[in-house]
Amino acid sequence: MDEIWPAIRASHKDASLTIVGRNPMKALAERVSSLESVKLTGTVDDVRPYVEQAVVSTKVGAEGLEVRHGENLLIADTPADFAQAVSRLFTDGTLRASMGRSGRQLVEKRYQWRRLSEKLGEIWRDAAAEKARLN
Amino acid sequence: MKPLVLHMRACNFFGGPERQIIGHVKHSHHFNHKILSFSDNGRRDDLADKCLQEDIAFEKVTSKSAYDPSSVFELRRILKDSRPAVICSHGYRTTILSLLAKSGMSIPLIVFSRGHTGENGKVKLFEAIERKAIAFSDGVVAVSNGYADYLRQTGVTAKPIRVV
Repeated sequence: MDEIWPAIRASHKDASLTIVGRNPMKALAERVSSLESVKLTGTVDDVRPYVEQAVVSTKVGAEGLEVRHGENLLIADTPADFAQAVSRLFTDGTLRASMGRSGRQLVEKRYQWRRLSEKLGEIWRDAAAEKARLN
Repeated sequence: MKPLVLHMRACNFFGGPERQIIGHVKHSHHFNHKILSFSDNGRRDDLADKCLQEDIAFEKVTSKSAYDPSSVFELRRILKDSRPAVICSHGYRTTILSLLAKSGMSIPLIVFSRGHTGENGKVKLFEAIERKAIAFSDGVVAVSNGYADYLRQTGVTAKPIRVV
Protein backbone atom coordinates (compact mmCIF):
# COMPACT_ATOMS: atom_id res chain seq x y z
CA MET A 1 0.00 0.00 0.00
CA ASP A 2 2.85 2.35 0.72
CA GLU A 3 5.22 1.55 -2.10
CA ILE A 4 3.81 -0.79 -4.74
CA TRP A 5 0.31 0.57 -5.16
CA PRO A 6 1.33 4.24 -5.61
CA ALA A 7 3.92 3.15 -8.18
CA ILE A 8 1.30 1.21 -10.15
CA ARG A 9 -1.21 4.07 -9.97
CA ALA A 10 1.41 6.50 -11.18
CA SER A 11 1.46 4.79 -14.56
CA HIS A 12 -2.07 3.32 -14.59
CA LYS A 13 -4.49 5.90 -13.25
CA ASP A 14 -7.57 3.66 -13.68
CA ALA A 15 -6.09 0.67 -11.89
CA SER A 16 -8.03 -0.71 -8.95
CA LEU A 17 -6.87 -3.00 -6.19
CA THR A 18 -8.97 -5.70 -4.52
CA ILE A 19 -7.65 -7.28 -1.33
CA VAL A 20 -9.31 -10.63 -0.66
CA GLY A 21 -9.27 -12.63 2.56
CA ARG A 22 -10.98 -13.01 5.86
CA ASN A 23 -10.23 -11.05 9.00
CA PRO A 24 -8.26 -8.19 7.47
CA MET A 25 -6.25 -6.25 10.00
CA LYS A 26 -8.02 -3.24 11.48
CA ALA A 27 -5.19 -0.93 10.47
CA LEU A 28 -5.52 -2.10 6.86
CA ALA A 29 -9.29 -1.65 6.85
CA GLU A 30 -8.92 1.90 8.17
CA ARG A 31 -6.22 2.68 5.68
CA VAL A 32 -8.25 1.41 2.75
CA SER A 33 -11.52 3.03 3.77
CA SER A 34 -10.41 6.42 2.46
CA LEU A 35 -9.14 5.09 -0.88
CA GLU A 36 -11.64 4.85 -3.71
CA SER A 37 -9.36 2.72 -5.85
CA VAL A 38 -8.93 0.01 -3.21
CA LYS A 39 -11.54 -2.53 -2.16
CA LEU A 40 -11.29 -4.87 0.80
CA THR A 41 -13.61 -7.84 0.44
CA GLY A 42 -13.13 -9.61 3.76
CA THR A 43 -14.57 -13.11 3.65
CA VAL A 44 -15.70 -14.38 0.24
CA ASP A 45 -17.68 -17.55 -0.49
CA ASP A 46 -15.42 -18.58 -3.33
CA VAL A 47 -11.97 -17.17 -3.97
CA ARG A 48 -11.67 -18.56 -7.50
CA PRO A 49 -13.20 -15.63 -9.40
CA TYR A 50 -10.51 -13.42 -7.88
CA VAL A 51 -7.55 -15.62 -8.74
CA GLU A 52 -8.28 -16.77 -12.28
CA GLN A 53 -5.79 -14.23 -13.57
CA ALA A 54 -2.13 -13.88 -14.44
CA VAL A 55 -0.11 -13.87 -11.21
CA VAL A 56 2.66 -11.72 -9.78
CA SER A 57 4.12 -13.10 -6.56
CA THR A 58 7.11 -12.80 -4.30
CA LYS A 59 9.42 -15.81 -3.99
CA VAL A 60 7.92 -16.54 -0.57
CA GLY A 61 4.40 -16.37 -1.97
CA ALA A 62 5.24 -19.00 -4.58
CA GLU A 63 7.23 -21.22 -2.25
CA GLY A 64 6.75 -24.93 -2.73
CA LEU A 65 5.05 -24.52 -6.09
CA GLU A 66 6.70 -25.84 -9.23
CA VAL A 67 6.34 -22.55 -11.07
CA ARG A 68 8.70 -20.86 -13.49
CA HIS A 69 9.19 -17.11 -13.56
CA GLY A 70 8.10 -15.73 -16.91
CA GLU A 71 6.20 -18.86 -17.83
CA ASN A 72 3.55 -19.52 -15.17
CA LEU A 73 3.83 -16.26 -13.25
CA LEU A 74 6.10 -13.28 -12.60
CA ILE A 75 8.25 -13.30 -9.47
CA ALA A 76 9.19 -9.94 -7.96
CA ASP A 77 10.77 -9.40 -4.57
CA THR A 78 11.18 -5.65 -4.33
CA PRO A 79 8.42 -3.03 -4.42
CA ALA A 80 9.84 -1.52 -7.61
CA ASP A 81 10.06 -4.89 -9.35
CA PHE A 82 6.58 -5.84 -8.19
CA ALA A 83 5.05 -2.63 -9.54
CA GLN A 84 6.96 -3.06 -12.79
CA ALA A 85 5.74 -6.66 -13.17
CA VAL A 86 2.12 -5.66 -12.63
CA SER A 87 2.50 -2.81 -15.13
CA ARG A 88 4.00 -5.22 -17.63
CA LEU A 89 0.94 -7.46 -17.39
CA PHE A 90 -1.39 -4.47 -17.69
CA THR A 91 0.20 -3.37 -20.92
CA ASP A 92 0.96 -6.73 -22.53
CA GLY A 93 -2.35 -8.48 -23.11
CA THR A 94 -0.73 -11.41 -24.92
CA LEU A 95 1.63 -12.11 -22.03
CA ARG A 96 -1.22 -11.71 -19.56
CA ALA A 97 -3.40 -14.22 -21.40
CA SER A 98 -0.63 -16.78 -21.96
CA MET A 99 0.53 -16.55 -18.37
CA GLY A 100 -2.97 -16.96 -17.01
CA ARG A 101 -3.46 -20.01 -19.26
CA SER A 102 -0.10 -21.52 -18.41
CA GLY A 103 -0.63 -21.04 -14.66
CA ARG A 104 -4.00 -22.71 -14.88
CA GLN A 105 -2.57 -25.65 -16.87
CA LEU A 106 0.19 -26.12 -14.32
CA VAL A 107 -2.28 -26.26 -11.44
CA GLU A 108 -4.50 -28.71 -13.31
CA LYS A 109 -1.54 -30.92 -14.15
CA ARG A 110 0.47 -30.82 -10.91
CA TYR A 111 -1.96 -30.04 -8.15
CA GLN A 112 -4.84 -32.38 -8.75
CA TRP A 113 -6.61 -33.91 -5.78
CA ARG A 114 -5.68 -37.38 -7.05
CA ARG A 115 -1.93 -36.67 -6.83
CA LEU A 116 -2.28 -35.04 -3.44
CA SER A 117 -4.35 -37.96 -2.18
CA GLU A 118 -1.70 -40.43 -3.28
CA LYS A 119 0.95 -38.52 -1.30
CA LEU A 120 -1.25 -38.27 1.77
CA GLY A 121 -2.20 -41.94 1.56
CA GLU A 122 1.48 -42.82 1.65
CA ILE A 123 2.00 -40.58 4.70
CA TRP A 124 -0.96 -42.11 6.54
CA ARG A 125 0.12 -45.68 5.72
CA ASP A 126 3.72 -44.98 6.81
CA ALA A 127 2.56 -43.45 10.11
CA ALA A 128 0.28 -46.39 10.89
CA ALA A 129 2.99 -48.92 9.96
CA GLU A 130 5.61 -47.14 12.06
CA LYS A 131 3.28 -47.02 15.05
CA ALA A 132 2.52 -50.72 14.67
CA ARG A 133 6.22 -51.49 14.43
CA LEU A 134 6.97 -49.59 17.65
CA ASN A 135 4.27 -51.45 19.53
CA MET B 1 -12.23 -52.98 5.64
CA LYS B 2 -10.51 -49.71 4.80
CA PRO B 3 -8.52 -47.98 7.55
CA LEU B 4 -10.20 -44.97 9.12
CA VAL B 5 -8.64 -41.51 8.99
CA LEU B 6 -10.05 -39.14 11.59
CA HIS B 7 -9.73 -35.47 10.59
CA MET B 8 -10.05 -32.89 13.32
CA ARG B 9 -10.65 -29.18 12.99
CA ALA B 10 -11.76 -26.49 15.43
CA CYS B 11 -12.96 -23.49 13.48
CA ASN B 12 -16.50 -22.25 13.03
CA PHE B 13 -15.65 -20.73 9.64
CA PHE B 14 -15.48 -22.65 6.33
CA GLY B 15 -12.29 -21.53 4.61
CA GLY B 16 -9.23 -22.93 2.84
CA PRO B 17 -8.24 -25.62 5.36
CA GLU B 18 -11.83 -26.82 5.60
CA ARG B 19 -12.07 -27.05 1.80
CA GLN B 20 -8.85 -29.08 1.77
CA ILE B 21 -10.15 -31.48 4.41
CA ILE B 22 -13.30 -32.07 2.37
CA GLY B 23 -11.11 -32.52 -0.73
CA HIS B 24 -8.95 -35.14 1.00
CA VAL B 25 -12.02 -36.98 2.19
CA LYS B 26 -13.65 -37.03 -1.23
CA HIS B 27 -10.54 -38.07 -3.14
CA SER B 28 -8.68 -40.50 -0.87
CA HIS B 29 -10.66 -43.59 -1.76
CA HIS B 30 -8.36 -46.13 -0.11
CA PHE B 31 -9.42 -44.91 3.33
CA ASN B 32 -12.59 -44.35 5.24
CA HIS B 33 -12.83 -40.86 6.67
CA LYS B 34 -14.60 -39.14 9.48
CA ILE B 35 -14.45 -35.47 10.38
CA LEU B 36 -14.62 -34.23 13.93
CA SER B 37 -15.52 -30.59 14.29
CA PHE B 38 -15.18 -28.77 17.57
CA SER B 39 -17.57 -25.96 18.34
CA ASP B 40 -17.90 -23.91 21.50
CA ASN B 41 -21.02 -22.85 23.27
CA GLY B 42 -23.44 -23.35 20.40
CA ARG B 43 -21.48 -21.28 17.89
CA ARG B 44 -22.15 -21.96 14.23
CA ASP B 45 -20.23 -24.86 12.73
CA ASP B 46 -19.85 -24.42 8.98
CA LEU B 47 -17.68 -27.51 8.54
CA ALA B 48 -20.31 -29.75 10.14
CA ASP B 49 -22.97 -28.15 7.95
CA LYS B 50 -20.89 -28.84 4.86
CA CYS B 51 -20.37 -32.48 5.89
CA LEU B 52 -24.10 -32.85 6.23
CA GLN B 53 -24.66 -31.36 2.76
CA GLU B 54 -21.99 -33.56 1.18
CA ASP B 55 -23.00 -36.74 3.01
CA ILE B 56 -19.61 -37.04 4.73
CA ALA B 57 -19.32 -38.86 8.06
CA PHE B 58 -18.80 -36.36 10.85
CA GLU B 59 -19.28 -35.84 14.54
CA LYS B 60 -19.53 -32.60 16.46
CA VAL B 61 -17.70 -32.19 19.72
CA THR B 62 -19.35 -29.39 21.62
CA SER B 63 -17.97 -27.73 24.69
CA LYS B 64 -18.64 -24.71 26.84
CA SER B 65 -15.44 -23.01 25.72
CA ALA B 66 -12.12 -23.69 23.99
CA TYR B 67 -10.65 -24.46 27.40
CA ASP B 68 -13.37 -26.86 28.53
CA PRO B 69 -11.58 -30.07 29.60
CA SER B 70 -14.68 -32.14 28.85
CA SER B 71 -13.77 -32.06 25.14
CA VAL B 72 -10.64 -34.13 25.94
CA PHE B 73 -12.78 -36.83 27.55
CA GLU B 74 -15.32 -36.66 24.74
CA LEU B 75 -12.56 -37.03 22.17
CA ARG B 76 -11.06 -39.94 24.08
CA ARG B 77 -14.44 -41.67 24.00
CA ILE B 78 -14.69 -41.12 20.24
CA LEU B 79 -11.18 -42.49 19.70
CA LYS B 80 -12.00 -45.60 21.73
CA ASP B 81 -15.24 -46.16 19.83
CA SER B 82 -14.02 -45.46 16.30
CA ARG B 83 -10.44 -46.83 16.57
CA PRO B 84 -8.97 -44.74 13.74
CA ALA B 85 -5.81 -45.88 11.94
CA VAL B 86 -4.59 -42.28 11.88
CA ILE B 87 -5.62 -38.96 13.42
CA CYS B 88 -5.08 -35.87 11.27
CA SER B 89 -5.07 -32.63 13.18
CA HIS B 90 -5.71 -29.42 11.26
CA GLY B 91 -4.92 -26.66 13.74
CA TYR B 92 -3.19 -26.01 17.04
CA ARG B 93 -6.21 -26.61 19.25
CA THR B 94 -6.96 -30.06 17.84
CA THR B 95 -3.25 -30.99 17.98
CA ILE B 96 -3.13 -30.27 21.69
CA LEU B 97 -6.50 -31.95 22.33
CA SER B 98 -5.47 -35.05 20.35
CA LEU B 99 -2.24 -35.48 22.26
CA LEU B 100 -4.10 -35.30 25.56
CA ALA B 101 -6.98 -37.54 24.47
CA LYS B 102 -4.98 -40.29 22.80
CA SER B 103 -2.62 -40.71 25.72
CA GLY B 104 -1.81 -44.40 26.14
CA MET B 105 -3.48 -45.31 22.83
CA SER B 106 -1.50 -46.57 19.89
CA ILE B 107 -2.93 -44.18 17.30
CA PRO B 108 -0.55 -42.11 15.19
CA LEU B 109 -1.13 -38.37 15.01
CA ILE B 110 -0.28 -36.46 11.84
CA VAL B 111 -0.30 -32.69 12.16
CA PHE B 112 -1.18 -30.57 9.13
CA SER B 113 0.66 -27.29 9.47
CA ARG B 114 -0.39 -24.58 7.05
CA GLY B 115 1.38 -21.62 8.54
CA HIS B 116 1.50 -19.67 11.75
CA THR B 117 -0.16 -16.29 11.55
CA GLY B 118 0.67 -14.87 15.00
CA GLU B 119 -2.25 -12.53 14.46
CA ASN B 120 -2.55 -11.72 18.16
CA GLY B 121 -0.99 -12.61 21.51
CA LYS B 122 -3.30 -15.53 22.20
CA VAL B 123 -2.72 -17.09 18.78
CA LYS B 124 1.04 -16.55 19.10
CA LEU B 125 1.03 -18.37 22.43
CA PHE B 126 -0.97 -21.32 21.12
CA GLU B 127 1.16 -21.53 17.98
CA ALA B 128 4.27 -21.66 20.16
CA ILE B 129 2.68 -24.41 22.24
CA GLU B 130 1.78 -26.29 19.07
CA ARG B 131 5.37 -26.15 17.85
CA LYS B 132 6.40 -27.83 21.10
CA ALA B 133 3.48 -30.27 20.96
CA ILE B 134 4.35 -31.35 17.41
CA ALA B 135 7.42 -33.06 18.87
CA PHE B 136 5.04 -35.61 20.38
CA SER B 137 3.18 -36.24 17.12
CA ASP B 138 4.06 -38.92 14.59
CA GLY B 139 4.63 -36.64 11.63
CA VAL B 140 3.99 -33.25 10.15
CA VAL B 141 2.53 -32.34 6.78
CA ALA B 142 3.75 -28.92 5.65
CA VAL B 143 2.41 -27.00 2.70
CA SER B 144 5.76 -25.98 1.22
CA ASN B 145 9.48 -26.64 1.49
CA GLY B 146 9.97 -23.11 2.77
CA TYR B 147 7.45 -23.63 5.51
CA ALA B 148 9.01 -27.01 6.39
CA ASP B 149 12.36 -25.20 6.78
CA TYR B 150 10.69 -22.58 8.99
CA LEU B 151 9.27 -25.32 11.22
CA ARG B 152 12.70 -26.93 11.54
CA GLN B 153 14.26 -23.56 12.38
CA THR B 154 11.67 -22.96 15.08
CA GLY B 155 12.46 -26.22 16.82
CA VAL B 156 10.24 -28.78 15.11
CA THR B 157 13.01 -31.28 14.48
CA ALA B 158 11.96 -34.44 16.26
CA LYS B 159 9.46 -35.70 13.70
CA PRO B 160 9.48 -36.24 9.96
CA ILE B 161 8.15 -33.26 8.05
CA ARG B 162 6.63 -34.20 4.71
CA VAL B 163 5.69 -31.62 2.11
CA VAL B 164 2.59 -31.96 -0.03
